[in-house]
Amino acid sequence: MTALRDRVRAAADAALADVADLRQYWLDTQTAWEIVDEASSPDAGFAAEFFGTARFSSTPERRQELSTRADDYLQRYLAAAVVQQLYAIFDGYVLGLVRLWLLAHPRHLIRTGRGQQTRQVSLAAVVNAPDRAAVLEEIVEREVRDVAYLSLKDQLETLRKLVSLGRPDDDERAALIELKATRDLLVHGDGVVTADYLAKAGSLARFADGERMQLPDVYLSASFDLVRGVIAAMIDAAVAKAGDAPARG
Amino acid sequence: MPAPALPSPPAADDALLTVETPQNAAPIIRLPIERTEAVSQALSDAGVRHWIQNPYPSLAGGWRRKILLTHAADVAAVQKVLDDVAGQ
Repeated sequence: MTALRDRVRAAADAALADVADLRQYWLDTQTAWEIVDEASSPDAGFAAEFFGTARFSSTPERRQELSTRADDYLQRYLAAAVVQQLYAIFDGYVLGLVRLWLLAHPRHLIRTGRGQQTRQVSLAAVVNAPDRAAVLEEIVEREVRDVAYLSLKDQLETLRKLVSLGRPDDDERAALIELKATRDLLVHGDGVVTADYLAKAGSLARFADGERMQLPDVYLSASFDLVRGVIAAMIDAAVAKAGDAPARG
Repeated sequence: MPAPALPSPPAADDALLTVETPQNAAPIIRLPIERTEAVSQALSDAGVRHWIQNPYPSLAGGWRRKILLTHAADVAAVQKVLDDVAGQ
């Protein structure tokens, strides 16, 4: 049977690999667009050689369009997509850890139900389940789905009650909450800073109410370092706490 | 068959820096990487909020950077700062 610590390490390794891949995609895509932008300059002779007769860039007008749009693509769409994906990796890692821990230690379900002492399971689910483990898996999935809808602060608190890892620390937690607030603004708003963002981000708010949110490279780089650092720091503590417990599910 | 060699693009005229105002994006300043620090310092001294972006390789050789300004940046005032830097 696979040990919980092995599953925990595998989940962290996968998340760290995703972070590294995403960072490389971000940097490579930036470079690609800068090359296109530079090659689309009014130096038509060079641009024509560079692009050849490719339909997407065969006319000076089209090349000018590409150049004009390059910064828009980089500043808005690429950066926003990277922030959302980066947060999704972290979110998936935290929820995955909650899932692994609850499956390995289902007794936690009794006291982590956020006030609920019991979890109801339908008779059909019990009757149709091949064994007790399958019933528990369904309950754990429902618990994880509920945790997914909590604020990041409450998600991390849920995880802390399951297994106290000591990370993220207070500063990292505040920075992660600001990252989540930025992600929420991009997903649910039109990129203009709102009172909701300011309330969530607190003292780490990067823009004032009504300003257009910007995602400079230095912010994305710091966010990559933050997520990578927190996940890496959580690994050793989680592996140590997992001990020799078997993984389930 | 090997691809024909591309002609070298002309090097950008970096003596005078300009604030570019791309469509739907915040204003930027493109510059050679070695001038970044001086220009950033001049912008800071003038109270202009800005961020130094990642370096990127230029087709003309060397590395360049962009300095990102806020959407609300006073482009004329920033251009004045750049002109002053060029005149020094």
